[in-house]
Amino acid sequence: MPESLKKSKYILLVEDNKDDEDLTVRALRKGNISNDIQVVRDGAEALDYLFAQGAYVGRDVTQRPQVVLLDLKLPKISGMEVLKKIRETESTKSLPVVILTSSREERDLLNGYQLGANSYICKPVDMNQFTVAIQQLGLYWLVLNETLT
Amino acid sequence: MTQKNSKNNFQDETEATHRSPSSSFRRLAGYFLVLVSGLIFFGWSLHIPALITVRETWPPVAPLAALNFFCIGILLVIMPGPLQRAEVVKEKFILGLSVAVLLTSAMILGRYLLRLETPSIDILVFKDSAKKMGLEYKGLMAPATALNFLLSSFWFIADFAKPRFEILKSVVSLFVLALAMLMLGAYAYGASTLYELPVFLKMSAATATMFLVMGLGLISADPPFGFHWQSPIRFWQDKNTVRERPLYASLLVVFSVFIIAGIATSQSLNRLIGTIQGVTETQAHIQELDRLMMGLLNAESGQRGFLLTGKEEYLDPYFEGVLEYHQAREGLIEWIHQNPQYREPFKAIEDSAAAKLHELSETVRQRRAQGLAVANKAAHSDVGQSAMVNIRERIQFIKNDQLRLLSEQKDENRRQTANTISSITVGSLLATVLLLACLNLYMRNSLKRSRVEEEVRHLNTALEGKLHEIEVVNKELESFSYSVSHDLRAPLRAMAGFSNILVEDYKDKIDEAGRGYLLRIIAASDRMARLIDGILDLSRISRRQVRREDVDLSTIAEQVVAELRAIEPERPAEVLIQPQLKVRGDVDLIGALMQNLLGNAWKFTSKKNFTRIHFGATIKDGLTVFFVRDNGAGFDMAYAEKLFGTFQRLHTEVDFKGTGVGLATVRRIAHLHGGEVWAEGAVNQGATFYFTLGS
Repeated sequence: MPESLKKSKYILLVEDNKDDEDLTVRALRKGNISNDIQVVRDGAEALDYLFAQGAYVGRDVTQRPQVVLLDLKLPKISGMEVLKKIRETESTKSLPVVILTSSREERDLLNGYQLGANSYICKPVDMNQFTVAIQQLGLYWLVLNETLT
Repeated sequence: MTQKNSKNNFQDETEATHRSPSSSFRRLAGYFLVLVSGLIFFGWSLHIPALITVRETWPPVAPLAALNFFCIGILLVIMPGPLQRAEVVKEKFILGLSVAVLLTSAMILGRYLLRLETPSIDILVFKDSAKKMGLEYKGLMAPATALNFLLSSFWFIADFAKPRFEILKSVVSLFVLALAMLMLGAYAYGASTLYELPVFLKMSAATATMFLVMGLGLISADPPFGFHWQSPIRFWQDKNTVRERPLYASLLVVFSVFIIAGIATSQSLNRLIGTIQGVTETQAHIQELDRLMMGLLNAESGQRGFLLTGKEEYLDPYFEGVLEYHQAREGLIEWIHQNPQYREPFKAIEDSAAAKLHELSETVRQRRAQGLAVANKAAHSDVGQSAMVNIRERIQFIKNDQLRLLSEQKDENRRQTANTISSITVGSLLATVLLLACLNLYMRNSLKRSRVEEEVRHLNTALEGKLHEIEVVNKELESFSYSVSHDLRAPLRAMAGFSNILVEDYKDKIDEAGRGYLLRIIAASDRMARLIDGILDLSRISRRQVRREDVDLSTIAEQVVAELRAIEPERPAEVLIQPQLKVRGDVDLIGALMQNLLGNAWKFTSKKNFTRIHFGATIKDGLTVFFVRDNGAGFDMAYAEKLFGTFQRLHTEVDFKGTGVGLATVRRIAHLHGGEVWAEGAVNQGATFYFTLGS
């Protein structure tokens, strides 16, 4: 696999909680997923990153993440709105988005799927379950799943 | 969603309680008006006189009046009952129809008031029709009719602004009714003077009938009136309750009084007219008798003048006298013939008069032929004189008899006048008093009703306020549980997660005791996570709208038990499930209930050597009671009530894991279905949980 291609297979993690970020990254690394992880802290930053605007002006937009791991409860712009914007925009329409959240509320599930989320994962409190969930997630979306390029 | 539904239910209930006999009569009256006015239109369009008037000489129902009756009929059918409110579209429709009636009747009334000669629209439209039917009346709505319609439209418009115009409404409906009754009475007793008075100008009998029905319809649209009899006295004594019944009877009484007073008045009027005619006739006869005498006297004096002077012009009074006599005689003959007691004296008068007239003409002839002397001699004979005396006596006899009769007749006349006046006065006074009493009764009832309505409205407002409060609380609860769901779990995960990292990555730096503490942090976080999930489940259930469908409890029980067995396949257990237990309810909620109860049974029998669980049903007080029985740890009956409280536990976490939310959820689900849940048990003797799920 050429280096540039491998490099381009990175994860965009939208997560405001540093604890959750660390736990997620650790779980991925423990599951031998060494892909780059780009972290953004809120919904606005996520959109800026994806559409190369604001602080991310000049970023090569063709370098799209392999998967976006999206928390729902975010400062500024909520995860649902970010998802909506991604699906509305032609260039990011088919980007895989996995909702990774604490919420088990039915309406969040419903909204998420209706807005076009590819997957909905509720973060378990139990660390073992959490690790397993994140590792399987990484394995599936980064290794097994074929995305449009 | 739940709130909206409960409001609808409330409205349904109000509607059901007010589908009273009076409101069905109101609808019936409405249908009658629609039907009859439709027929009248038919009559006007197809030139069928029988459809538009009762008798051809009576005025027909004006087309515009028929149209108004049609509108009012529809209004009576569709208007909402008391304490109800129509939907917005219907409300607009009702207002539209009322305003249409108001405008047409105001137009006609204005036309009368301004004495405009322009024909009304309906006359223009149906002019040919009236001509073809050869109707005397042109089909113009009477002013009284227009007034009634105007008032009725006020009634319907006032009905919008309830409850303020109760009194106006009551006065209007009574007035409409009274006017209709008066008109009908006038037709019934042929008092054409009444129904053709300028004010009532030619109101049709059919119109009056329709107003009668309409008035009754209006009155029964108000709850105080109804078809059921109840003593008005009891009603009067009752201070606060609204009764539908007493006024109807009172109104019938007023109606009867109207009729009886009408009959009495019309009869005494007839008698009065009879005596007046008698007086006039007697006076005429006396006059004729005088003329008879005068004629003869005039003839005699004319003859005398001629005898003395011989001048022909003196004969003029003579001829006039003769003519007068004959005229008077002619005028009396018929009457004399009908009165045998006068025949004999009149015959004598006629004979004597003939003799006298013969003597007069003889002397006139002799004076002309033979001169004064011969004629004078003849004139001095006794014949003429005795004839005149005779006549005078006879006439005086008849006249005296007639004068006596006249004085009798005049007495009778006075009596009849007094009678008529008193019957009119008494009748109308009585009717007025009764009508006022009726009005008073009606207004009292209206007031009571306004009070009750006010109270109902107040309660409704309070209820709506409460519903709103509940809505707000529900919303708060929802956002609360939403943030619990999101925010409370993240720190827990951090605690558990980092403790886990410490245990895994730093095991060489932490001793056994430290590791134990970390594991306890992890366990506590885990437990708290389960508690949070339990609360969220419970609140989710509370907010849920309960569906009603057929639920097979036995099948659900089997599935739950199969899942439980799958977790511990090697556990020796005997589970008895009564087949074919069915209920109506929410399949998801009932599934959760069964899961909790069977799960509990499974959990609390885990320390027994052999697990026995029985799910079945019994009938108690006609209600199906389901139960889940186990041979597990049981509980002390002293704490039976505590079992179902949120976070209430009778066992330690060490003995049996649990959050204390499960049975609270069970109770919540039973309550949501209108059912109940309770438990029986003893320590180490097992427990039985009973539940019902509504009827």
